[in-house]
Amino acid sequence: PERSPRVTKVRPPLHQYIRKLLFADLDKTTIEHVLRQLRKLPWSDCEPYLLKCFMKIHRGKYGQIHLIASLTAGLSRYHDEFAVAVVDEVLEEIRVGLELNDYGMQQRRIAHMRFLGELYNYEHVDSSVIFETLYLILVFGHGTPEQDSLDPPEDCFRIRMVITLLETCGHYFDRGSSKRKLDRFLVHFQRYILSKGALPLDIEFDLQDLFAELRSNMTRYSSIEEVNAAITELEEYEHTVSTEKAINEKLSDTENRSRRTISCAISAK
Amino acid sequence: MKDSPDRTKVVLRHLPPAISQAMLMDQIDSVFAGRYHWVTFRPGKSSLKYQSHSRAYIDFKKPEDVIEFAEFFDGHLFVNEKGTQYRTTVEYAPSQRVPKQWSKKDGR
Repeated sequence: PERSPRVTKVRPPLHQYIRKLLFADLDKTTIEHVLRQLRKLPWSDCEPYLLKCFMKIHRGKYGQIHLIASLTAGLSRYHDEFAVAVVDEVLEEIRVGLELNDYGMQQRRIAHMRFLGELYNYEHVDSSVIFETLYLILVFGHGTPEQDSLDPPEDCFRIRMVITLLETCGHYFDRGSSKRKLDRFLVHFQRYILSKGALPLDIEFDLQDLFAELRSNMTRYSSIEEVNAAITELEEYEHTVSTEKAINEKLSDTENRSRRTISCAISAK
Repeated sequence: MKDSPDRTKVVLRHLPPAISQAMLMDQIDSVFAGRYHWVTFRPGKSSLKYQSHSRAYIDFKKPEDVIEFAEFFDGHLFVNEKGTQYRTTVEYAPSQRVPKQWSKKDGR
């Protein structure tokens, strides 16, 4: 049978160049060069396409996602609008992923979690954004008629998402208010995990690694009743210290931020 | 969330894929002109395979205006030429960052 010839997409030269820089040239030795080349682009024409490419991080190497986060940080100095858009766009991608729960999108969804974590590491999102995202993953669609298609009982993908994000930036939540926020989240996370019943072994091992790395002394609850009791206790405690906490939080947040300054290593020259 | 009284940046989601920025801004400005200091529009896309909605991010000058804006636009129905309906939602943007006002010119 006659077949029509395959149509290859022809991209404008500038788009081809952007793709070459991001998907072929970029590695830790060339990042300064790539950043400089990106800054030389006719910015107003290229910004939308560049944003699109930044969202295609799953096309690049997983181990290089931090380089894209680093580029975002490097570009923000001159194009803050772009850096803000990158963050908004990643969060939107994560949200849409939860809304569709499309099996074919899993790889990119994991890449976006990694990217969000790296953006935190490069100080482009606050811890509050990370925690809001974590809780969103636990509860999105629950209590609605779509729950069974958005988060079926046997589907462990959301656990993967949480593991990926916390593997990437969880180690920074080790003091002050963000430490408490992570402690609290991990109890809620445990309730979510227990609601899934028996886990596939690969997920269980990744969870063990995660807890060992972040909170080696934390109790792993073995039943819903236990974890519910722990959450009730937590909420009562929070209630009593809430006023006191509000004051301390402001202080320790400022202290926490300054520790993450590995970022601007490649800041603009 | 507990600090929502201070939040000023919202996202309009589930706008029709083909809506233009000008069309949307006409509607917003009919009531909210001059009450925000930053807005950005993300066009959606309609293809056979995949459809994505348009979005807009708006940073209001006053937190109270967010409430009024949500009353106005949350659940607002947009209908396109073909009669398809899009029910828009208004939410606080998960990241409250907006671009710094002073944008340095890149000397490159």
